[in-house]
Amino acid sequence: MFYDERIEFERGRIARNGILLATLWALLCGALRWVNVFLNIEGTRAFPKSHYYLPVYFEATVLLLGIACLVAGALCGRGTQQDERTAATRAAFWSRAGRYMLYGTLGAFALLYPLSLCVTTNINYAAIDTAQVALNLFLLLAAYLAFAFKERDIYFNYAAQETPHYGRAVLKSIGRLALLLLGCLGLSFCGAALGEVLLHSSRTPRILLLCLLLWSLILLMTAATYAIFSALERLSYLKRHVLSGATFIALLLVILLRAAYTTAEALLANSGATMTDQLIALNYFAWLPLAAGFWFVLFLIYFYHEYRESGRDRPARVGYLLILGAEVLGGTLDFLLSALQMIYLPRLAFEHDLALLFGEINLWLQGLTYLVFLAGFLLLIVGPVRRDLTGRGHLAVAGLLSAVALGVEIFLYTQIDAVTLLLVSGALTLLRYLYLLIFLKHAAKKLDYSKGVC
Amino acid sequence: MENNRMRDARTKLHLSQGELARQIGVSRQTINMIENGGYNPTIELCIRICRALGLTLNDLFWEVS
Repeated sequence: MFYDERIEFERGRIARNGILLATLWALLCGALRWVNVFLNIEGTRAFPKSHYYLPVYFEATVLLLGIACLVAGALCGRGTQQDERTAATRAAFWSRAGRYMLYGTLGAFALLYPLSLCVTTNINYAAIDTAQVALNLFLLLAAYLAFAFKERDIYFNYAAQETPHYGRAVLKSIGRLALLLLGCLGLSFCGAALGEVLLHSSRTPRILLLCLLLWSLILLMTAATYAIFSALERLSYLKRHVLSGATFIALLLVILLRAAYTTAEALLANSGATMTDQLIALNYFAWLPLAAGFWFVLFLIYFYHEYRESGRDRPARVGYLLILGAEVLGGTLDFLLSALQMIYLPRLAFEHDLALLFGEINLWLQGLTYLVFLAGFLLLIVGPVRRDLTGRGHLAVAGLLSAVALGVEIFLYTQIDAVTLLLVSGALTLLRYLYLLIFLKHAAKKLDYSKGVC
Repeated sequence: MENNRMRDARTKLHLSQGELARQIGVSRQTINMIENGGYNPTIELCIRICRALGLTLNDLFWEVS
């Protein structure tokens, strides 16, 4: 029977950190929501109270569950001599708490989402969307999970890796996932039914259809992501080179998704539509950058894992963390800034200075993320060059590529229209990503996989 | 601290890390980390490893100063 104590201990730690992350996220989004309510008190009064209270229950549920788990965890084994047995008990507690927290969060979202749709008589642009809060949370947690597992040398489907039926085990997991999401769909239907009975909603058929579409899309994306990364895990476990043409194509797809969203954003900005209409239109594509950013982070984790050897390379490690940080933190800050903009949305249409201020903050944020990415990009290349895995020429090329790209973008900023600038920036970013991948693939080939690994 | 005695005992039996891991019911990475000194196993896991390799706790895990 498979029981790996190291993995159980690490799973417990990862679950505890995940619970903490979810709790902090719920606290932050809940605070933002209430700041919004009070700053736009006149707008708030135009809507029924249930319009604000219902979405808040999601953050409140996550917050209460998180606090309960953290308090119980702090009390778990308190006063008892700490030894191997109590460590195993605590690890098991955190794993179970993490599972219940996940079920509770999913359940809360499944139930509250249709209910919040029932009470929306008019679009309140100043309210933070519950679906965005929930989806960003799930993506953050998934990215953290992937990162934490790879950092601790734990493979997804670890119990099945040593068996000859790996594919079957993956399919079984997807089946269990489908059952879980089916349960969520059932809860959403219950929520819609409650909305009809308690809130006298007249839009139940449309809400039911929306819920069906939502959970189908979530199942499709999650199952596809899980299947792809299970395949990558297997290749990595068997020490077959993962940086193959297939993963290159997959990464290109990711970058194209992001470029598509950026292009849509630019086209809308140039179309002359009002900001409100732009935001409504962008909502239809809002999942694109989330999905693309998430997949890029996961692919990057795998690429770096292929490159890494047991004696870790400090500059490359720092570089890798900077790039990941730029991606994950950049995406999170972008979401929070959008939430803040929503708070001021009623004023943005009239106060030009305020709109300019948000534009400036957005630019500074993008610039900062860009610089952090560049620093990480160069550090990632320094390591292998120092260890003679590749020549100094690569470092020179990387530096030159970054400097030229930066120079071109700054020069073009005031010379061409926003759409062309975004497309040029996208192409230059793509070029840098491709160079980074080719470089890491080249360096990974030169590593001695037999050193310290069976 | 690296556990070369465990590595030597395993290779004497012509077992790979994966094969030993399968026998004991842990992951290959855990065996690797124990041999490289990256993980300190509990007494229960030490006993399972000893049983699989046919040796005693003293043979594999007693630290000689």
